[in-house]
Amino acid sequence: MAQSRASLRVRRRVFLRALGLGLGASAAARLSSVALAQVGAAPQRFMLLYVPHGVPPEHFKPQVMASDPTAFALDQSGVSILGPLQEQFKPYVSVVQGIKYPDGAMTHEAIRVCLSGLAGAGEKMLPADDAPRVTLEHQIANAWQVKPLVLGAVPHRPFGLDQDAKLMWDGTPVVPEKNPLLAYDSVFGSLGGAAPPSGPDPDVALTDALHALTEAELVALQKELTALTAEQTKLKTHLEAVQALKATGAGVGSSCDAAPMLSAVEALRTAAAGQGDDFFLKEENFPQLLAAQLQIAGAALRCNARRVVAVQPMYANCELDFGFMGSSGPHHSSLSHTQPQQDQMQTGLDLATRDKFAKCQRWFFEELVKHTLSALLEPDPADPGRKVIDNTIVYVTSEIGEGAYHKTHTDALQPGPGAPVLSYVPSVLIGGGGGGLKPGRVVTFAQDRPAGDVYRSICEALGVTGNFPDSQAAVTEVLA
Amino acid sequence: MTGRASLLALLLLGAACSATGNEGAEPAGAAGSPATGGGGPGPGPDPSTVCGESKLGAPRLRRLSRDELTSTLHDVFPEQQGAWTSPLSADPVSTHGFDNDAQVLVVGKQTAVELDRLGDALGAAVSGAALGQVLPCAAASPDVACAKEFIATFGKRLFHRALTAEESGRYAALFEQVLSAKDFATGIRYVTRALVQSPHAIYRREVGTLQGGTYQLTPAELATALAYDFSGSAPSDALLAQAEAGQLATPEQLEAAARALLATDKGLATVEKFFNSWLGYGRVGSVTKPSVPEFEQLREQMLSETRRFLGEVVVTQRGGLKELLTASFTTPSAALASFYGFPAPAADYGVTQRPAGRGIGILAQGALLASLSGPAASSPTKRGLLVMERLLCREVPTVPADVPTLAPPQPGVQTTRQRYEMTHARGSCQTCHANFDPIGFGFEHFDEVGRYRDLDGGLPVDSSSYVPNGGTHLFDFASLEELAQGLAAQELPYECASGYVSTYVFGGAEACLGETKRPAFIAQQAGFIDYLASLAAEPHFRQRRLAP
Repeated sequence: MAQSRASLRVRRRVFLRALGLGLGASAAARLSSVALAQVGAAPQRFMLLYVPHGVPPEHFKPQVMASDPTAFALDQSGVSILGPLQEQFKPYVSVVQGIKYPDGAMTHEAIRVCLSGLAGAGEKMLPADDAPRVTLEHQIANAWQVKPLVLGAVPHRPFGLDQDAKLMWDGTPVVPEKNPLLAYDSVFGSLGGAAPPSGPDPDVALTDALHALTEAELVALQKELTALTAEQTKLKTHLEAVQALKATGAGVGSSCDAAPMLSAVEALRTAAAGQGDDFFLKEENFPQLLAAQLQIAGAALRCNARRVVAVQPMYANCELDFGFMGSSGPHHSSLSHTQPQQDQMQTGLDLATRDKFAKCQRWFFEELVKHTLSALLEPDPADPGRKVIDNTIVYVTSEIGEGAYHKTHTDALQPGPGAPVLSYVPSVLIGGGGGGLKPGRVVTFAQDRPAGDVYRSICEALGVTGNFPDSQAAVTEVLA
Repeated sequence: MTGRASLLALLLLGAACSATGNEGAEPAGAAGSPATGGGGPGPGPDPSTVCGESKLGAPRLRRLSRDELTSTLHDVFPEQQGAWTSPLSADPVSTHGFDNDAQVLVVGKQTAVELDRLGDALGAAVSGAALGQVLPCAAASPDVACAKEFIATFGKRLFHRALTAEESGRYAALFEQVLSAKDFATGIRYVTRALVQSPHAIYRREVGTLQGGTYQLTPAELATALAYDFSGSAPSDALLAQAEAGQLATPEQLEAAARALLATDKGLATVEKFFNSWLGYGRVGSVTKPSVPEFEQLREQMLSETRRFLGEVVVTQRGGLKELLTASFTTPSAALASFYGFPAPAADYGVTQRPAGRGIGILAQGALLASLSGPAASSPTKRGLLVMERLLCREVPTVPADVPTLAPPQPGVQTTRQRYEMTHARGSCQTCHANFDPIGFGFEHFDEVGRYRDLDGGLPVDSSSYVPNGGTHLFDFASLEELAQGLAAQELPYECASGYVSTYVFGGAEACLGETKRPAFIAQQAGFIDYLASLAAEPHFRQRRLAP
């Protein structure tokens, strides 16, 4: 069978890059083959979407018919947060119910705790803490030796990155790119440019020489300051980061020949013209920013321009008013923190506000479908004959389950008359993962399993060995 | 004394308390500062700790913050301003709300990538059409000697010292390697990219040399510390020369240099940044107030009003905390004055007396009040927490796992205060909220955008309350004016504020580094600018103890 144009391009670029690194032709050819094998017949991709501050379980739970985990509906639970997936994507969806986050997963810290599988250290945890956290998306990217595209719409407060926003970790906090225009240019800016040079790319060797210079300076500084213990740690972190610069490329090369036209990005380009950097942290611009980022995520995955993408809308404690989509009120304190059941001590159950919050969380899925998943239904340019979604896993989660109670494990709630509702930590997998997943099912555990089991399963499906200390075993029910 | 210690034990008892406020209030603790939105790693030292005498801190490398690095590059390459865009992300902020904490700022993988991109963006600008402007020899003789001139000139500005021969040789070798494959301009681009991400450019070095049992900072390190601490940017050639000439050796010389820097535009911006980080009023620029359509047009003016107010109180009048809390004037635009219901100023942002009963000082600033509110209602919790944390230096407790819900607004039935009292006065909530909500009730005459109100949802506002103090009242008050005056009459807020000032200047982490002039600040004999400048005369500014 003839190789695709994309795979030939990948092989050639890897080969040239290897030559640039000073490898011999035979070694370069080997590296090229390895990279191609990784891409292989199923060029897999991964996307993480974080939805802040939980879900009201009575509006989230899939309805499973006759105890058959493959017979379920996503649009028959109140507001149906997962409803937008029902029509086109249900065959690609697996919902895992009955997971728990690691001990110490405190409220808004939980996302970085759970996504790394490492127990939390409470407030005293430092950005460069002793046990470097590597969250799911970075573990996959590291294994694939690609740089993840991490985007965030209003992902932190204007003055900087506080605890609520430290959602992605790779030893140090990862600040999502807030500006979709910069993200677009970094992903697609080179498309349509000049053809690659015919010989080894000198830029690779020169860039490596540049980073070697910085590395040498850091090593010398370490030697000079051996007596300063705290500064040694700082320099070690810095040195490892520079060494990672040398080792990590952006991706495997785009499968698209031209930069895609993305309507939300173009609209934003107009709206942001002449605006300062703070435009991209203004809450009023949030819907536009998220739409653009989700479109970029979809296009980047479709084009195989980025194999690992993460999108972080807002942050755990964000008080953005969702009046723009009809659920007025601050997302965190008024909408998510809505009494989930009658409580002797508290005010009564507020079903109307819970509906509003559910609509907010549903809106995220609507946007995901509209701007990202729809792009993944197209044929995979790197794998003709299959759709992009067949080769992709989109994982949607939150740092907590029920919002008002900050649940990080399964619990029964009584949000209204009738049977209690089990509140699960949201865990939704979408896509085929290149054949690694067995989608289209609801997997429910009677006893909570560590969230790391799900992440480990995602990694296994993608051919990656994940390291999640809380994990005990993969969730075989979702694996092919 | 330490305000934090006296209250901490009590707060910790309230393990299940809720610090959730109203629409827009934020839980405390893990979320950092609910009032200012700050927060980050570790509680750090209590800023209100007063030690009696100044100590020496540890030698350190302080990574430049995003603002410091960007400002530096604009200073070093002024011709290129506007020709490049910084890809640097926002910095992590410390528990105290500052983005310059030496312990927090590190170069992780993402920062390394961004520094590389920053260097390349600047390198492209420098080596582009304007190269002849930056490096005149590039036009006549674009050769290795010319590149070495570039390395020596701009390396010194970026490293804040002359490069050693070995360092120059490394950069020259990189240039020559690029030249052999590319061209002169590309070589300069690579050299610029390498210089910008060098640890010698990224870190402010406060290490010194060992002399007589302590580390003595070098002249270049002193000039660098002065420049960044008091103007937020790199030292000028003149300042470096002054240091090398031994003119920044004594405490008096250093304090005088600090005063001179604080008087510059950059110095004033550094002062304003401190106040914004400390009090968090800048958040007004990003919040939404859907029920007040005029807010969108006015919020930038609110920010300008507060900046101008600080300029008048702190800089022009050389005021201290008392003046900051109790100034009887504000500095609104004409549009803002109309919005607030104040007399029109003679000119936009001119000094205007507040009508009686319409608040005083910084706590009545529209930017602050709007920042410390929800989108649709005021937040006694947020406002109370600001005072508790940033003026009384009491630690905010960790947010519990089961934050309950605040009752929805019921205009005509309940005031905001009554809603808070109803929800937070019961059960485990009370343990925590009893420590800050009562303070916040003092602000209740001001709505979510800082406008005065006698009625809240048609019901009379009650702003009489007290400042809790471990089961007793530190003092009672009937209004925001009395709250501000009451705080100004206590010693603790002065201890707390001065602790925040020294934490900001010295980059966090250690207490007791700025004690010499602190008693004068606490005794209201020195203002903010005086105390700020005095920190340059502290022993810690010139010396460091042996590690750790």
